[in-house]
Amino acid sequence: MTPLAFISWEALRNAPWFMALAAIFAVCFIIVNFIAVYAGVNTLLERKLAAHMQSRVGPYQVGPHGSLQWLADALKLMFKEDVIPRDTDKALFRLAPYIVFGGSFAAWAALPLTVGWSPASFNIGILYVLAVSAAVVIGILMAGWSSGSKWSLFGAMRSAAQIVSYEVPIGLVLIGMLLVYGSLDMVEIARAQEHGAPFGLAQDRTFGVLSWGVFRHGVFSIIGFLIYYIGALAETNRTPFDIPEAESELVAGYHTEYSGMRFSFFFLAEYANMFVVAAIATTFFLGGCNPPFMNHAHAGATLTAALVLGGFAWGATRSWEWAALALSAGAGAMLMAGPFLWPATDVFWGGGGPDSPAAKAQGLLWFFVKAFSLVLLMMWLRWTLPRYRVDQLMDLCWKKLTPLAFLCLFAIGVGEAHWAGAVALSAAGVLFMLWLFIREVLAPEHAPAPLPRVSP
Amino acid sequence: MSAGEILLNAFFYVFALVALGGALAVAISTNIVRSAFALLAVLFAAAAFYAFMRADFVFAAQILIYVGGILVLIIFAIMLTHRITDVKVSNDSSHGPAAFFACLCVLFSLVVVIATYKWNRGVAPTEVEVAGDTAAKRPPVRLHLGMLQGDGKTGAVRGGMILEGRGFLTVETRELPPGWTGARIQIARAQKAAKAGDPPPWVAHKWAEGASTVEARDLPLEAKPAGAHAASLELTGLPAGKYRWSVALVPEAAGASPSPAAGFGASGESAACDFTVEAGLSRPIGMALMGPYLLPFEVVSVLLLAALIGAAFLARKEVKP
Repeated sequence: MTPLAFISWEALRNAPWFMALAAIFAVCFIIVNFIAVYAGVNTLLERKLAAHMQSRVGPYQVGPHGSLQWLADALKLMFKEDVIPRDTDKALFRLAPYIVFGGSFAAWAALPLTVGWSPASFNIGILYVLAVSAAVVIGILMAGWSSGSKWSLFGAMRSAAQIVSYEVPIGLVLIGMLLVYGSLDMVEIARAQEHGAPFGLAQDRTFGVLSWGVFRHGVFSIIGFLIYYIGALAETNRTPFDIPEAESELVAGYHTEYSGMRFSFFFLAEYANMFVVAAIATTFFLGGCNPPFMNHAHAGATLTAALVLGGFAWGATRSWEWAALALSAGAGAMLMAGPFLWPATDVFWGGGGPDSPAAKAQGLLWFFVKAFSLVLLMMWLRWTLPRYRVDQLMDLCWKKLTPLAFLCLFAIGVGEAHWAGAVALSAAGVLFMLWLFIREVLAPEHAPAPLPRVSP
Repeated sequence: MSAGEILLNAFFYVFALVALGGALAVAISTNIVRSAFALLAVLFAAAAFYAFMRADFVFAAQILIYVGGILVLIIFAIMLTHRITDVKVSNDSSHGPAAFFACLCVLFSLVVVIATYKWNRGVAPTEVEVAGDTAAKRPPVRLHLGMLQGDGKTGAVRGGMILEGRGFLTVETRELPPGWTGARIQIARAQKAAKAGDPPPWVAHKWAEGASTVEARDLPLEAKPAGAHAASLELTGLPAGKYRWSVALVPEAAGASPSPAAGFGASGESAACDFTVEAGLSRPIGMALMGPYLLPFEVVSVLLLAALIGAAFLARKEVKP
């Protein structure tokens, strides 16, 4: 299945051992270095984004517009003294960063980075990713306990409690989507989104954007996507769920006592983890590596619609916000309309079949564009939303997201049994949300409930 | 043993060392938190053993449940217990003889299980008959068709299923009368039915052998003791799916066409020699748990309910009268 088929047991057994070792080493080498560079660039991007959202300029000294700041940061971290405080459990303190990084690094092996290819071919893909992510929790607990510091321990306990709790709604949503795809293999899941339409209609045709998992069961898969994304924010300890490293309460959470290279390993793991959860969302909901366009004309029409609408909005209002909104609306509408204007039976790979190098390159491009957009959204949210309190966080998880995830699982199950069930349930869901909107937003009858009191 | 197998064995021993070292650390460490973290190494190494045995689903479930669930719970319990690290009396080495005896019992039962379990258990062979030819004086022959998993030496066969497209199809006969030389094996693969509910159409499957692809394979029936004859065909790299294989006997006379076994053929009605190729264990385990073992599976979960009630009972607040 994969060009790097050496990673399968069969080929590993038959290939010369040095070739097998070299193949494993090459894949690991590429991924580790990619994560290092990716995380470095991401730190710079996040700082720049934060700065511009707060009307500052951010890093500006190293390189043009501060664009080489991440290299300077990496060098500083590498040459910094590795301080180990007196009251630490030395062995566990040294080990913890590697376990956290190992957990988030191992998950990359199963990500379907391009058409029909992942670094290692797994038939239990998503189960493996969820399993190795467990090492992150253990590593964080290890770091927090071995630091011998109250802040670290508090941060670690909060983090582990949060990750374990949010695995419940995330798992339920993913189970629902697995009902649709019928495979745990992430490459197969991406392939299952090449064809089909919402509610399981027209299995043998390509509907571009509409074939993606997020539209497969109407409102319920859209709600599932939102639940997954909220849960993913909590799993990666990102704002608004960053209570494990809440600066104003806990100094820096579980990595308070770390410095130098060990500290940077926590950083690498955090950014690698962000990409992994975004990649899972991409694979399950956003069609993996599949392109959104039906053909060249569709791509051109989408670009034109976006530019024309955006240009009009810019001309009329002279405001970037309205222009960006109109641009997105134009592109989105054209993407949705495409499948009806240009019916197709197969995915559009710009000439070439799904095995051609051009298709592989496009698949890689689309996968990273989608996953990275979700990562950017995480950064955007970080500088937009305030932090949740512990009780609010658990309330959201157990009382709101988990029941909703159960509802999604039920609705998707019914929809998979018969398409009419999906349509009826989706219609009922839309009506219910409309009623809720009218009652709570347009005509609120009563004031919102007061916040719960917590004793400090 | 090829160099690749040596490499795999080296990995195996590394994981074995990790498992044993971790277990030793769990047992002899005087710091209970370190014991809990040493358990991490044991659980991961045990998961690796499942991967070595091609039990991929069990591998992931082991990590997901034991590391992600149970170990986190253990560490939470330890960290939330007041001054638990001050206790230094854990793991005292009294009761040596009793412990030795207990270990001996466990070892004995392990040895008994390993020695008596039928490791290389094939599926129950299916009997078919090849019609004879009275004109050419070839009497009919009874054939036993079977299947072996993996490398044909180790690993159990799970009823008519081979993993990762690697397995052996075997043909045996108690006696082979003169006039026959070998067996011709063909494989058909079920295609997707045009309409839901229709029986799947069977299409002859070509499989790779060396550099070429073949549609059928003539195998010499090799003589075994007591007049029996047997042939086996190794299959590798079959894509996952449903397959049906058919056998015909090849007559000695030049130019004579092979004689198919009764009830077989690419369009044959007999389902006895169907087999499935599974890409992994997830689907068979799911089918087993949601099918024949549904009731036992649900009954076992009552155990968890009992544990839950016990935990709630232990954690309740003491009400002083």
